[in-house]
Amino acid sequence: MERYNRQLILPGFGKIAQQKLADAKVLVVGAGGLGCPVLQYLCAAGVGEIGVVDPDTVSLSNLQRQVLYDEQDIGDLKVRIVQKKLTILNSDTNIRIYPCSLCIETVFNLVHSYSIIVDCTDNFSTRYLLNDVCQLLQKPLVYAAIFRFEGQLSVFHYGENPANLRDLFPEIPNPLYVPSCNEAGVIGVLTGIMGNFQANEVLKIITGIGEIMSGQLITFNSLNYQLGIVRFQSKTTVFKPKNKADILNQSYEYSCKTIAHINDLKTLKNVFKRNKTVLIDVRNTEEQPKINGFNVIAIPLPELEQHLDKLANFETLVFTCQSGIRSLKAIALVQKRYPEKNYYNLKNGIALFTK
Amino acid sequence: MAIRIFGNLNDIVNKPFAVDYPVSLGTFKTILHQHFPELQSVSFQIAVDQQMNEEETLLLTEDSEIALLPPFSGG
Repeated sequence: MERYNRQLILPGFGKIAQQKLADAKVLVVGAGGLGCPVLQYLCAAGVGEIGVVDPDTVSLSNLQRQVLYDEQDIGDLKVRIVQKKLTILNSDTNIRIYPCSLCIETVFNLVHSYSIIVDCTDNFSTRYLLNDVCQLLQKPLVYAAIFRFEGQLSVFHYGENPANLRDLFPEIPNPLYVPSCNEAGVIGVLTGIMGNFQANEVLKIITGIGEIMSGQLITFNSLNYQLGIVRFQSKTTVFKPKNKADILNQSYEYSCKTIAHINDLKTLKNVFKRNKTVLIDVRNTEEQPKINGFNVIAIPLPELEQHLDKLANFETLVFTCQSGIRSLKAIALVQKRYPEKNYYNLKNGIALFTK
Repeated sequence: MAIRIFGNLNDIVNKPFAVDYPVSLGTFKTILHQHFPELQSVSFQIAVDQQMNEEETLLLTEDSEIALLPPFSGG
């Protein structure tokens, strides 16, 4: 127990709390800016089993905030690096890795296998899906999200008056109006701070010390250190799944019911066998690499609305951007004008051409 | 009345606007939307005195503390 001496001697901690940590099973969804500190601190503190879900590989632009990874790791699966580095950090912790997106087929079994879930994702679709599954299976969900220099944190489905993401924000927001980190920017220390807030909540839930931020939204601004707490309650008017079918029937892609996702070059080439197909690159003009070998129209997202006429004569529209998020916004925008065309999104953006 | 604005709402609610107190939460929302029509397409919730509130008849006074909170997705 020498390893844990500094926490064992804390008031209210001790061997019983340490044993609770060793018995705990925590699922961390997303191994990015929030996920890295959560994974590191939970592993260091002696959590017995940690599952980590992430489909992505490490890229150079991750390194300014995703501090588990280094230059040697670029191109490797994040979850493999997590397993490698955390095993060196603490060989007592069993690390289970899931190199996939959280999807409707696997999410129920995955969440069922863990006692606490940590939402370290970067998109609303996954956040709402995870929220609803945790609501159904009654699992505590530790939530954090960031925008520029601000962060939010809460704990859902926990304690005497459990509340959740839909009690805060009932419907999945239109991604058109909520920029992702790729567009809004993000500073590494803020994801570090908010990720540590999440790890703190997980440790408190497991050990039973302190007050859990259930029914409370913590807001934090890293520029002026304004820290706020807003209380909220469970609502009867919002979606609360009663069974698995309720979730399966729910749409988790905002107005994206008719969008097909493409994740490999072969599928893309097949789509291009159709007449009147075009690939629309909505990245800004300076973003690299350029796409060759397909019929490409480059229209940066901010200018798209003024250039919708350019798309009038095509029947199948394939959208891409750097990571596959701005392209979804582009589709939402174009669909308003041309609801009957066929829409495809390159799920992971430009990575399709570079892998 | 103090109004705290969070996240991307700062890009929209970006200039002072006048409200006569006391005012109901419902009327306050209407005034807010009149001044900043872009809010129609944005998702956000209103907290009054550190409590999320949707009660349209709730009376806001000069002492009320309002927060406009949008959801964040980054991580």
